[in-house]
Amino acid sequence: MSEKNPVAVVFGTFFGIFENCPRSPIRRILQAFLLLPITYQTYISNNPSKETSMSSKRINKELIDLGRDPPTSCSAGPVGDDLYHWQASIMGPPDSPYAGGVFFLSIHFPTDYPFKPPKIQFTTKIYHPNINASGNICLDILKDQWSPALTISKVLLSICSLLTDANPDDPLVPEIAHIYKSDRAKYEATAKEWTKKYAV
Amino acid sequence: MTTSDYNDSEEELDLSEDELEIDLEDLHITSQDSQVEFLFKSLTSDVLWITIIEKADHVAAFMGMTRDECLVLLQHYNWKEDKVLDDFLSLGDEIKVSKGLALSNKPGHSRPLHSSSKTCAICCEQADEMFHLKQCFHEYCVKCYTRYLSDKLRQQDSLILCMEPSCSISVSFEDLKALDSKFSAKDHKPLYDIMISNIAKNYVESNPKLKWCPAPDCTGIVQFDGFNDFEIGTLKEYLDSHNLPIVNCPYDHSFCFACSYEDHDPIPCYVAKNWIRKSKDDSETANWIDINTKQCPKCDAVIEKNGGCNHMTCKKCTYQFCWICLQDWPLHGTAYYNCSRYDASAIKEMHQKQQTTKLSLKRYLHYYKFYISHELSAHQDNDLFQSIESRIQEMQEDMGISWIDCQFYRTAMKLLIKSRKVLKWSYALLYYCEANNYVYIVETNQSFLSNSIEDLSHLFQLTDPKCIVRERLQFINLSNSMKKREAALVEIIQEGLKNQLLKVT
Repeated sequence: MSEKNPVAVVFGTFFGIFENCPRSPIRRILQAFLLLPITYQTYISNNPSKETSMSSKRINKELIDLGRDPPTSCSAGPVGDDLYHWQASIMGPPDSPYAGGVFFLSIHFPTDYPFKPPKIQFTTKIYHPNINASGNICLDILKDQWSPALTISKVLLSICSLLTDANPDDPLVPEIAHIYKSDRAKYEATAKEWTKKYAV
Repeated sequence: MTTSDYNDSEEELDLSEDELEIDLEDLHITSQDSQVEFLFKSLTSDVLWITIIEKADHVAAFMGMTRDECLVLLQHYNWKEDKVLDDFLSLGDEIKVSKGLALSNKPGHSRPLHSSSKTCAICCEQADEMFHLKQCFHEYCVKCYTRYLSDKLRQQDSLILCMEPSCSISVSFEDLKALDSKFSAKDHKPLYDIMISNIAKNYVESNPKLKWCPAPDCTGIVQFDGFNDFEIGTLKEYLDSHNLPIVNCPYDHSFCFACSYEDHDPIPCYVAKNWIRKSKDDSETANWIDINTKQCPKCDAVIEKNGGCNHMTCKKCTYQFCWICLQDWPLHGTAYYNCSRYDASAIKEMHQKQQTTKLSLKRYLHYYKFYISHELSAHQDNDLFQSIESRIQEMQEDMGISWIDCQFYRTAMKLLIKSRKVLKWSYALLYYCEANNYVYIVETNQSFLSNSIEDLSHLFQLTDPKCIVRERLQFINLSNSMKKREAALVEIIQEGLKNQLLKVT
């Protein structure tokens, strides 16, 4: 895209204020909510090939839908000019040890989206049996159970419910799953501590 | 060995020593013992499909459902008819709902209405034509649905659900046919056909008695039908008694049913497997390089030290270093030519290791050379085999020889290919055997067979149909003697393995 997106520019300078206090909780919350206005902006793809024109149309549609009907506990939108790279945020569900935390995720859309699932990773550290140290998520709908009819907002809601109800029988981090099953209190304490340390 | 062969050799032996005759008799009896036959049927994919359909129809007649529905049900139950019927008896028609064949009639599961807009939720385009499965009403455009199904079918899925994640309706043959009919046959591979082959794959993979032919692009299937001896019940018992289940697919590729690799008669599966892995990864060469060379610490050039002192100068980057500790040479200070880390026993050990590796490599290369040269010749023979059909035709047309009289040529070629295979694998076996007198006997038999093969191979260099016909008797004689020598080699190897005279390490 040759011209800079005006909203993105304003958004960028606004963020600049908080640049010096990277771990500030205000920044995190603002960041999470500020992602919303950008979702109203429609993007034009600069690659006119058939595959990308189809996926960009669909991604734009999801962006508009997210703005029109935003989910209560999450938000998502593109990072800069690249329509295929989004950032998302999830509020820790109140009935979980992650309550009070804001977790950031990066979303990469493949060019054959929605026929192939998006690649989603946590960028905030989180203590969870199905999420590993590099933020990869073990979730069936992101792998073989993916359906083109699923959307980012549905996937984010699934991730939210994964935070409430972990799946220790199919773990990505067996050590955490073991603690989850054998000593639930210890698991919750550690998860709370990590949330406080990295996500607040 | 046929009975007439046996009588011949007996007469010969009568003239020599009586003791030997007894030995040979024993040998013959044991070889008769081991002749448990592996019974099999080779099927083409069309025949297999008929079997599958028959199975589905059988269940369908019982439950009063269609064949397509039963194909889906049988896959859910891993093709176990009795389990489908059990569940049908307890669930009744509910089985259809639970396996995605019909929507539930319960309130709350009302069918969604047709949406008035014609925008596809997948591609977000205004679609000319929408499509939904017959059993449910989740509409998407024809293009997206086709793309979704062909992606799934390419992943060899045979149970595919509606695109809507909350819907559990299975895609049926009828749906696929409906979609196929919307495309011209020219640039669209029918989804229906891919589905059939995927279901067949699912069927073969869930049935341990069926195996695909491992030859490239071959669609043949072999069905294992038990043994002609009731004492042997399982494939494992059969293998343990030193037999090999060599089978032929309907397109005449022979392979081992146990390991799904090409015919490796007479050597056991595990030896063949080890050998293939070894010859593939070239581990011996890597071992040698590992032991005998070091890399220049600066430029990583591979250096072999074949003499001289430990003061090395890399030819490539002129870096000077000590061979023993790979440190910068000037660091050695006054202790020139005497690395501070010098350790006599370590050096000795290294030399010993080098020596054994060198020997083992030499041994390996020796057998590998024979193995690979016969493999290459077998490839050439195969090419020749493709071209002999035209030669045979020439013989028939130009010289007026009947079809049956030309068969000697084809038979001899087939025998040649088979014997080469046996010889090739016997070299692989000997690499793994400890050297002893029995190995010497095997080697002698190997060279007999090798000579026969070369003679016959030489004869195949004749290209003039007239000469070929003139040498007809020679072809028959040579291939017969080769066949006998091959049988002798196979027998001697099998005996050796059975009586542990050949010790495989």
